[in-house]
Amino acid sequence: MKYLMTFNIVTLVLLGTLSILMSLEFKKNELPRKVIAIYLIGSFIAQGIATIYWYFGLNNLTILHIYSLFQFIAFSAFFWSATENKTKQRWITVISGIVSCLLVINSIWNESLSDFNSMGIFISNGTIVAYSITYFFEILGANLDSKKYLIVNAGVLMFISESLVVFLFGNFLKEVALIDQAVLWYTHISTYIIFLLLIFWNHAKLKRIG
Amino acid sequence: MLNSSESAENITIYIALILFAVIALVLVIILLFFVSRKKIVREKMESQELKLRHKSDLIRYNIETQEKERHRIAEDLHDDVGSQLNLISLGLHRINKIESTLDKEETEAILLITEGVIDRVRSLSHDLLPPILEKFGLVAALEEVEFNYNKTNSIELNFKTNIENEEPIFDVNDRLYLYRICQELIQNSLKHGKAKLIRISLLNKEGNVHLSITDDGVGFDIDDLQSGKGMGLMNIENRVEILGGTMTISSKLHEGSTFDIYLPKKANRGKDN
Repeated sequence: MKYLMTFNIVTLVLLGTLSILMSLEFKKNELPRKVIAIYLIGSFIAQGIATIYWYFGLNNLTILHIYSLFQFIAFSAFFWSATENKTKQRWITVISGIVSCLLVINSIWNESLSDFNSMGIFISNGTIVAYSITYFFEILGANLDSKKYLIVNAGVLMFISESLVVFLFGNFLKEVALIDQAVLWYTHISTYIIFLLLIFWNHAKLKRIG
Repeated sequence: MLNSSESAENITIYIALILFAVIALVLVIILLFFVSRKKIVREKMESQELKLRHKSDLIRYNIETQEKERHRIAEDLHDDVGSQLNLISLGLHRINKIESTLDKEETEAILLITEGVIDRVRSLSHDLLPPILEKFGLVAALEEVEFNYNKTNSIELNFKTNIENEEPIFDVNDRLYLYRICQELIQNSLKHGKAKLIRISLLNKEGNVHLSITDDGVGFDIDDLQSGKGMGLMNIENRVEILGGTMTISSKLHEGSTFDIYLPKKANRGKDN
């Protein structure tokens, strides 16, 4: 488990670097990239705090509740701004509004703030997976060199699906010794690093296209 | 609650298996998406290419038909109508010379009209297919255009070239299409541009041809071309496309306009089509 902290710090450094890189050209970028930049900054702050809590042996799951909501809103905003279909934008607004309310209700009345919000993550991540798959269908016929968020979307689909499974069983894992769950957390962090690298790749590609 | 480390281990293994299955499934979906997308885009491009090729073939066929028809009309005018009018003219001359019961003034008037019609038919026939183009080539034809315009019109037309032997540079179609392009652009400069001075340059740079036509007319806003091109300009573009060349247009309001046409070497000309 000693490597988990190192892994976590590497992720934080990567997250921080990417946040700075994307914030540098914040004004110049189009809306979906602005949303990604905000998401990265928010994630950096949330994960920084969560790591500190974890380091001092404190329960950081309250942050997860808040972070889940933030992540859901950020990805909803990303898919809302990335789609060119007005009807889809209206659906995203309505669905995201309902799911956000459910997340808040779930965290206040259903799942304890000191536990994993498995149900909340299942609903929010499931919705994001649906957004991601529909986005894939939307850009199926677009030109190969078009300014689309294909790579980011692939990353979102992979990372969010993986998170959905890990956090769905989060409360079971609380009963399992940390050493036994190591493989899951290593997988989770690795997926997250791949996701961040895909964001960077997409950003670099779009920058090249101009 | 899990009491033994064995069941805890089992739980983790199950979760890990589900996790890897989900990741694998997602990766397969992504892979399938990329493969399908590539296929769809390729098919789309092929269909677009086919449409373009079809359009290009239609344009080529249209222009070739147009040229054949012009050729036929020019020959008919020259050989048939022209020679019959000449016969009428000769007949009227003969009637004029001999004693006739016909009114001499009337026959002279008919003769005058007939000769006017002969001139018109000849000029029409020459416009449709200048004999000089077929006999002596593009440079001679453009020199004739220069001579005729400077003689008869109140405008100045300058033509310059560095081509001495055009055989290795142009074939019959190249000459005809370039001549038509010049005709159309001169007409545009006079009709729409109200130009007083037109400069034509036809330069050969190691087989690559640069035809430039500049006028001092009223010019136009290039952005207006985006909203719609006239038939004449489309015809020019089509001919340039058939020749495998490119055309650039530069113009500003009240500052005249310039049309630059670049043709590749003869061997590469019209290969795309």
